[in-house]
Amino acid sequence: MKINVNINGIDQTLECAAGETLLRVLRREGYFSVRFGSETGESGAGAILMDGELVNAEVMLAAQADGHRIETVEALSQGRRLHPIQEAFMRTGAIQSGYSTPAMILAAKALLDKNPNPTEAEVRDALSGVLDRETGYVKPVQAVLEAAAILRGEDPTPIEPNVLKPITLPGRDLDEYGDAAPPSEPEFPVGSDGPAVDTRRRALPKFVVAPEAPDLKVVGKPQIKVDALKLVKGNPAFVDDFEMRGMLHAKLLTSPHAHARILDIDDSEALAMPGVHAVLHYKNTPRVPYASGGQSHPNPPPYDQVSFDNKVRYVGDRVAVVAAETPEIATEAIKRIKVTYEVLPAVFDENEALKEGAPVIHDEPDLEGAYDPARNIVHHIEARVGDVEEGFEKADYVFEHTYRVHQVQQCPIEPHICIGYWDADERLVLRTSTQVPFHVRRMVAPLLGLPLKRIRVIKPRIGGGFGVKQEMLIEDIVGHLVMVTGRPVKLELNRAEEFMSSRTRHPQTITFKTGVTKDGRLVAQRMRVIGNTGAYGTHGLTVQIVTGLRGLSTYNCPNKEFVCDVVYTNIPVPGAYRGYGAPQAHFALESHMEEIAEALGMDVVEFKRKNWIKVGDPMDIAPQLGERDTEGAALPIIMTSGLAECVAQGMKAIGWERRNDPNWRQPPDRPHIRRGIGMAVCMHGTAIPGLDMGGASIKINDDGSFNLLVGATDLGTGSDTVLAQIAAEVLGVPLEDIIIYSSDTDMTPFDTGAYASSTTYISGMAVKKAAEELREQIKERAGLMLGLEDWAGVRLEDRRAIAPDGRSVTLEEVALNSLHHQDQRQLMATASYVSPESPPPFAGQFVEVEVDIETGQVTVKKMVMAVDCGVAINPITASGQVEGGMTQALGYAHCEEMVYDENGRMVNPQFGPYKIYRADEMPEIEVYLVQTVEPSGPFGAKAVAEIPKDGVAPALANAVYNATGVRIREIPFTPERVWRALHSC
Amino acid sequence: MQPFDYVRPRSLAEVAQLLEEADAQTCILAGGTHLLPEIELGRIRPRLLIDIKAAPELNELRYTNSEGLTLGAAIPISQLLTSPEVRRHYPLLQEVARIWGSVQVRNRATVGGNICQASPAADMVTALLCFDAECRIFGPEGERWTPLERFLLGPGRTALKPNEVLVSVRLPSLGGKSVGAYRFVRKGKGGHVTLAGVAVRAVAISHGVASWRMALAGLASSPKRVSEAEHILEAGELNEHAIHRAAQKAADAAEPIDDARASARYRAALAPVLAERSIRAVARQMWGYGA
Repeated sequence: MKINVNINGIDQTLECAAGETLLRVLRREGYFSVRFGSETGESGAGAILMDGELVNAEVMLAAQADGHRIETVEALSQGRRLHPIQEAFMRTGAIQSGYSTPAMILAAKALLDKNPNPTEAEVRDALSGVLDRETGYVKPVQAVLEAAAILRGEDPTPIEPNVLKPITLPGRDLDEYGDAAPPSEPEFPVGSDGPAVDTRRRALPKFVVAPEAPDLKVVGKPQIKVDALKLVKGNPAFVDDFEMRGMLHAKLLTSPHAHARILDIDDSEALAMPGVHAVLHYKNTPRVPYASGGQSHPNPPPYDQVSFDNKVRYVGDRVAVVAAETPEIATEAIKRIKVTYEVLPAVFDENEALKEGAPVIHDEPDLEGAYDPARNIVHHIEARVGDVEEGFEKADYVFEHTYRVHQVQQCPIEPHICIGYWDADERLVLRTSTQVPFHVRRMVAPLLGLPLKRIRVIKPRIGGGFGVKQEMLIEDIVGHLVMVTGRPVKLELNRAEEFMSSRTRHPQTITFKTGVTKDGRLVAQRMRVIGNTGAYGTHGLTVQIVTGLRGLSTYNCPNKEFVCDVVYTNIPVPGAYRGYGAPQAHFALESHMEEIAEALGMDVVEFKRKNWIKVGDPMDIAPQLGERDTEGAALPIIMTSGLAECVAQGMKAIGWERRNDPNWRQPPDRPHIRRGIGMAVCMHGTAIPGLDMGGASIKINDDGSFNLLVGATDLGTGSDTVLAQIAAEVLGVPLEDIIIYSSDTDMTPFDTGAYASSTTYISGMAVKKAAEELREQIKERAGLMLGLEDWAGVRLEDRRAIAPDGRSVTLEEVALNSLHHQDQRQLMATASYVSPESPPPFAGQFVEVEVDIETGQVTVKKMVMAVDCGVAINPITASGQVEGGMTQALGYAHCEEMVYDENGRMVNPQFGPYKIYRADEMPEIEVYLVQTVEPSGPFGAKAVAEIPKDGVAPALANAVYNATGVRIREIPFTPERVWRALHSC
Repeated sequence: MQPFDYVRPRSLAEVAQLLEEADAQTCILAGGTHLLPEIELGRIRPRLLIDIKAAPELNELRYTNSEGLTLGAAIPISQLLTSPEVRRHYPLLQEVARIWGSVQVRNRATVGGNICQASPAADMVTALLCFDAECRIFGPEGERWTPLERFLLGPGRTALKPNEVLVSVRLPSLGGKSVGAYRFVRKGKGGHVTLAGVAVRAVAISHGVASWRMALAGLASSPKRVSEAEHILEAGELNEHAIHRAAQKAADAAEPIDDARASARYRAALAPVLAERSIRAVARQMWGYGA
C-alpha cells in the first residue's frame, strides 16, 4: 500500500506493507535516529513526533501515519547549527551510548514546545517513556532544564567544579567525624522552576580534591564527549545503521522446553518456502565445543557449548536458525521447522541441582573442563588464609547468615545485533555489537573452520553492554549463515530473546559465618557460595571467583575461607554483568556485617571502620582468587584509599544522624510510613592483573592533529573520550585535535576489551605510553628544526613544541617537516600495557527509604555515593558512570527480576513487567568524587565503572532494617516480599 | 509482523459495513499500543485491522450538562488530561490518566481500547465504573447500550459480538462537586501492571452528604464495583467506623488470584488498605477531613 506522510517538512509517498511498523519504514527511508529497543514499544528508543506529539514508532503501523506530519531528530539540526536541546545534551554530559538520545531529545522538544518553563517533575514525566540504562536520567533531566532556560533566553549554567573540603584529616580516623568542623560548601542557587530536587545544578559531581593531584589542561576536565555530535544528531553509527544489498534476515528457533533431547529436526518444509536461503541446526552444522565468554586465551573452561546441539538446556536455548529474504519469511519458516523433543526433567534452583537424583544437565561425551558434571558441579573453588576453624574457636561470638541473590538481565537498550558479509577479498566481516571484538575474532574462527586471518570484526558505536556483550553470543551463527548462503546476513535479537536467550546475572546462595571478638574485631570469616550458572558455564568460574575475592577483601581478618560450587541448572544463562560477582558478594557481606554490629550493640560504621582494609594492608586472599596464576608474586598492597573520606562525605550528605531519631523514622502525620537510612562500604578492582592488556597506536597528520587507534571498546562509557583526553594531555593539544578510532581487528591494536573496569586504567596507560613515545619523536624533530643540540628540554604546549629558550615551532610545522620536507618519516608510536596490580577503588553508598508498612512498598528517596576512583580523567563521564551504575543497582535491589513459570519459561521478558526504573521514578541522586592519586594509574586514575553496582542492594536492605526493624536477606525488595517480611508470612 | 490487511474507514457507517463481513480474525485497531505488540508477539494473528481513528463518531470528547460526558472509543488518554470539562467534573479520570504508561503511550492508547482489552487490572476502567459509565455499541442490528459493568465479562472477554464495535462511553452528569481518588500498588510508579487498586469518587449532594462509588482493580476477574461499601458511605455520617466498615467491604468483595505478579493473599491484604486510603483522600478533598 501507499501512504502519504510529511517527514521533516517534506511531503512523501511511501510504499509499505499493511503490517509494517512505522519504525521499520522510517529506517528503510534512512531515518536512522529512530531506533529499535523493544517489540512492545516500552523502550521508547523508536520515539518520533507525529503532529507534534511524541509517539512510539515501534508500536505504530506505518499505515496509521498516513496523512500525518512526522518529525525525527534529523530535522532538528539541518545545516550546521544544533538545536539548543541538542547542545544542552552535549554540554551536560547527558549522552552515554547515545542510542536513545534522539528519542529523549524529541521527548524534550514535545514538552518545551508546549511548556517553555517546565518543573523538574514535568521534565521527568516527559522523559518517562524513554528508558535509559546508562545515565540514571540525572544529566538528561538537567539537559532539558538547561535547554528550557536557554530557549527562554536565560544564560547557560556555568559548568564549574564543586569543590568540598575534606572531612577526615590525614592521620585521623573516622571516629573523630563528629568533632570535625563542618566543611564550607559553596551555595548553589536552587532553580526557580523545579521541585526540591536540584538536579539542574549537578553537571559536575562534588569533589574532594587530593592536594597532590596534578594540575592538568585536558585531563581532569569536563570535556564534551568526542562522539557526542554524531550521537546527538542521530547520525548512522550503530550496527543496524548500515545496509547492504541482498542482505538476508536471520531468525532463531529457540527451545520451548527447559531440558530436552532433540530426537529429530525436519527442516524440509521451511527450506521449501520461497525466500528461505538456509536452515541451520545440529544436523548440518559442525560440532565444535567452546566456551562463549569473551575472555583471554585460553578461555576458562568448561567447553560445554556447540553452535547447535542435539540437546536443549533452558527455555530459550538455540535449536535452529533460518536466513531468509525478509524477517517475515524467516519468522514463518521458523514455525515450519518440525522438532521432535524428548522432554527431560528440569531443575532451576542451584541448591536443588546439587541434590542426589537431580537431572544431569551436561551428559555429552565431548564436554571438557567441568568439575563433576554428573552432580551438575561445573567448578569447585576453595581459597584460604589462616585457619578459620581455629579462628572460630578463638572468637567471642560467631554469627552465621544466609543470603540469596536473584537473576536479572543487563538490558542494554540496543539488543545483540550482528551483520556479517564477505568482503571483496572474501574475508568474513562481522560488524557486531560487542565489548570484545578481538576475543570474538579468535573464538569464532574455530567454530566456523576459518583461519583467524580471514575474519575481521568491527565494533561501531554500541548501544550499551554492561557485560552482556562480553560474549561471543551470536557471531558464530551469523558467520555460519554467511558461509552457507554467500549473502550478507543480519541477526538482531528482539527484546524477549535478549532476556531469554542471551546472558544474565548469576543467582547465588551465600552463607557468611564470622567470628568476632567482644570489641568487634573479625577473627575468622567463612564464605560459602552456591553459584547458579544456568545451562552453560560461561563466566561461571570467574564471576564466582570475583564473588569470593570481593566478599573476603574489604575487611581485614586473619583467617578467611572461601568455598564455592558453581552449579548447572536449566535457567537462561548467566554471564558477565557489570559488577561481575561483586554485587552479589556485597549484598551478603554488607548485610551480614550490619547484622553483627547490631548483635554486638556497636555502631555499624564504627564496626566496619575498625575492620575495613586500609592503606598499607595486604589483600591476602587475592593471589588465590586471580584469573592468572600469580603464585610467587608479591602480595598486593593497598596503595591508595579514600574510603574513610567517602564514608564521612556520604554520612554528611545523607544526613546520617537522622537514622537514630525516632520522630524522623516514624513521621507522626503519616502513620503507615517508616523511614530509614542505610549504608554499604564498597571495594572493587581495576582490571584483571597480569591479564588485561590494551594497545594503542598514534600518528601525526599534516595539520598537527593525531589519529589515535585503540582496541579498547567504547560501548557508551566514554572511553574514547577519556583515552583521547589522555593523548591530548601528553601531546599538549586540545581534545579536538585527537581523532580516535575504536575498534576494528584489522585497524587497531589488540585490546582485551571493555570489561573488568579496565579501560581507563589499562588502555589509558597504553595510550599514555604511546603518546609519550610520540612526544619524544616530536621533540626530537622540533629540536632538529630549531637547531637545538639537546632536545630533551623541549615541551609540548598549546599545539607547539617550545624550546627552553622560548623559540617554538607549531605541531603543524613539525608534521609538514617530517612528512614532506626533510628526512621524511611518519612520526608515530605504538604501545601496550598490562598491569601487575589491580588497585581497588573504594566507595561509601548511602540510601534513604520510606517503607509503607501496610503495602510493603519501598520508596527510595535518595541515593548518595562517594567514590574514590583516583583521579577522574573526565569528571562528567565519571559521575555519569556512577549515576547510571547506581540506577541499575537500584533496579537489582528493588524491582527487577526474571520471573518463571513452573516449566522454566520466563513470564516477563518485556521491559514493562520486568520493570526497570524510569525518569519519573528516580530518587534524588548525589555523587561525590573523593580524589586519591593512584601511583600505578594514568594521571592517578583508578576504575569507576563497576563499583556503583556494589552498594545499593545492601544499603537498601540496611535502610529497610533501620526503618522497620525487619531484616530481609533476599533481593529484590518488591512490595510483596517486604510486606511478607513485615507481616511474617 | 505477520501480513494482514489494513483499512481506515471514515465514518461509523463505514466501520459498521466492514464489520458485517468481519470474522474472528478481524480486529479493531485504535491506538495499537496493546494490539500491535500482541500481534508482534504472535498472540493475536489477525487477517484484517480496522483503524477507527478516522471515524468522527468514535473520536469525540463532548460534555453537556444534560447528557454528561461522551468519550469516543478512539480518543487518546492524553485528551482526558487537556479537557477542561474532564478536569472540572471528572477529576478522577485525570488522576488515573496521569499515572497511565508514559507520554508516548498516553498519546496513542485509547479509552475504548482499554475497555475492550478487558484487563482485570485496568485502572481507567476501574475509574469509569465509578461514574456509572454506559457503553454505546454499534453492530448489524444497529445501536445498543449496556452498562460498563455488564460489558466486562472477565479477563480478555467483553459483551462485544464479533461484528460489533464500541463507539463510545457515556458518563452521566453528576450534578454536584465531584472528587475522586485512586490508590494502587504497582512495582513502580509507571510502566507496570497494577497489582491492586481502589478507585473512590464522591459527588456532593448537600452538606456532609454525598453519593459514593467504589471500584476495585486487580482484585477480581474484571474491575468491580463495591456497592456494599457505597451504601455504608452514603448511609450516614462519615466517621472512622464507617470508613473501616466500607474498607472491609472492599476486602469482602475482592476475589483475587495468584499470578506471576502477586499472590492472592497479598492482593487481598491490599484491598482494605487501599480502599481506606482512597476514601480518606476523597473526604479530605471534599470536606477537608478524614485524613
